[in-house]
Amino acid sequence: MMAPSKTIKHLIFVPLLLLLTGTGHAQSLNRQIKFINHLTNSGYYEESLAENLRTPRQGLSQPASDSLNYLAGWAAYYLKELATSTSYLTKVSPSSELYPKSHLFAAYNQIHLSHYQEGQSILSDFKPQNTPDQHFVHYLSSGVQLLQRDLAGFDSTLLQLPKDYFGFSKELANLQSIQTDLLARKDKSVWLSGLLSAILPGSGKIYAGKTGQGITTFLLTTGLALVTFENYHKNGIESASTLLFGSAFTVFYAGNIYGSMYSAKTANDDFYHLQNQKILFNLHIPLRNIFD
Amino acid sequence: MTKAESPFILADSLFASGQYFRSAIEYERILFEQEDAGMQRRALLQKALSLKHQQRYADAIQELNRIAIRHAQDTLLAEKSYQLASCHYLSQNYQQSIDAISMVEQALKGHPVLPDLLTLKTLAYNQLFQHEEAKQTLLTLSQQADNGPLYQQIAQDLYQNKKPKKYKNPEKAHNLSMIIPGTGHLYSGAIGEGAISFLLNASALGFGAWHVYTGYYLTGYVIGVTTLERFHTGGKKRAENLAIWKNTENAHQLNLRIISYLNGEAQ
Repeated sequence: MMAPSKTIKHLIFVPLLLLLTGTGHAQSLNRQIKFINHLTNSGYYEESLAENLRTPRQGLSQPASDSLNYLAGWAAYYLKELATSTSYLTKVSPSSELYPKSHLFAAYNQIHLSHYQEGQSILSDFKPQNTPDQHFVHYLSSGVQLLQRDLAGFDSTLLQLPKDYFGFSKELANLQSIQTDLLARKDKSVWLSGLLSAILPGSGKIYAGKTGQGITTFLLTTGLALVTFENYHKNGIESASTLLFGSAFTVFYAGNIYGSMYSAKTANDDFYHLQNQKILFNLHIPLRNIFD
Repeated sequence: MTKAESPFILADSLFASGQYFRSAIEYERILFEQEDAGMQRRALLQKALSLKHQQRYADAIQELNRIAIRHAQDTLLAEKSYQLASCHYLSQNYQQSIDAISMVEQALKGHPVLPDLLTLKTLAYNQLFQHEEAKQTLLTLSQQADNGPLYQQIAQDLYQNKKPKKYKNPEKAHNLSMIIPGTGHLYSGAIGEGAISFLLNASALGFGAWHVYTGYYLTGYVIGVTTLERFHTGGKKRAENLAIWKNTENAHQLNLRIISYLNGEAQ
């Protein structure tokens, strides 16, 4: 059995040792967080993320854990690893001052990845801490609705947004202009494009907006038609040259019809892709201006 | 080991074991945490070397340029200059490599690193096809380096006895193939390809001309002209690319021969 005086000594010494060790660990962790922050600020994102992930996570205080998660998410965001970025940013707790920025950027990451449901879910779980935070929840939601072509939903969300909020007034007007473009859009008809090219080779491509390709196709197909006609006229239908050039013409003619239909589809896809890029750009800029 | 060296233990051991990504981080940590100017300079140099090993030459150059050299007797001048010149060389900025060496040549007269620097300068001149300058650099080396006769022999064998292959102008190759198909290929050293290109173009032209002559005007014009245009355009582009490729190959071969002389492998 231990002597009472020795027990008292232990009772004093052990917590003191733990306290000192704890303080030493906290200081070392604090230095590590500052260093990771320095790496991020210096643009060494890959190094920052690697150093962050090397830092042991056990027994961390909430603020330290929040800082590490934020820095990992932010480095991954710069590295364009948006799914990784989201997984860290969403771990930042509401007690952190980095909470609004982290969760709003996490939502944006998901929207950028076309994971609209996940983006909306992050926005629904987000606890706004002031009015601008609330504005941004609605603003990002309106962007998701536009990306999903829910134009009626976009209109109703607009009612919840202040038109004169300096953070996104200009971008909000841009989103409304994109909505107008989407409403006014008449898609290129795939069948009409094919039909036009069947009547006049290349005209379907011109209808789809690919004028240069249309002219080239017209010249090539017409040229082959003339060559086939010439050989047919001089040598008859059964001559090898007529069959050769006739086959080549048939392949080009049929290929031109299919190509024109494909061009119409591509023209539609390109239009919507461009609108999506514009929407994402207009969602991103206010976030960077206000929170970064 | 002194206390001042202790921050380098981890970084240096990572560097020594080839873990350059992590060693670069640890040297950056020293830069971040230590205020001592000497430590900072050493950390900068080591970080640059770690980046160089990761083939991140532009980043390495950026770090090397942060090392302040106050006077010609600075102990880091030689190492910094060599690393800077080699990083420029490896990132194919040959003129910048030459400039970095020229700037310190006088200051490093008699320094053991100077022969290495001048050898690098010779290789860089070869890459730019400035053979006279490369030869002069070798002759300068022959007066300054311990194995002077070897450098003199290299200059004699590779630049005087047998002239190095001249620069092939890609634009000239393009223009030659534009005037007479295949001649740009010949100029670039691809004789077989030049002959094939000439025959293809001549066949297309012949096909067109024969059909027009025999009264097949549309066939002659449409098929002959279209095919000729394709062969002619492709031939010009190919001749241009061949000249670029040939220059790279010739410079590489010349430098390999210099290296084999220096390694004692040349016949």
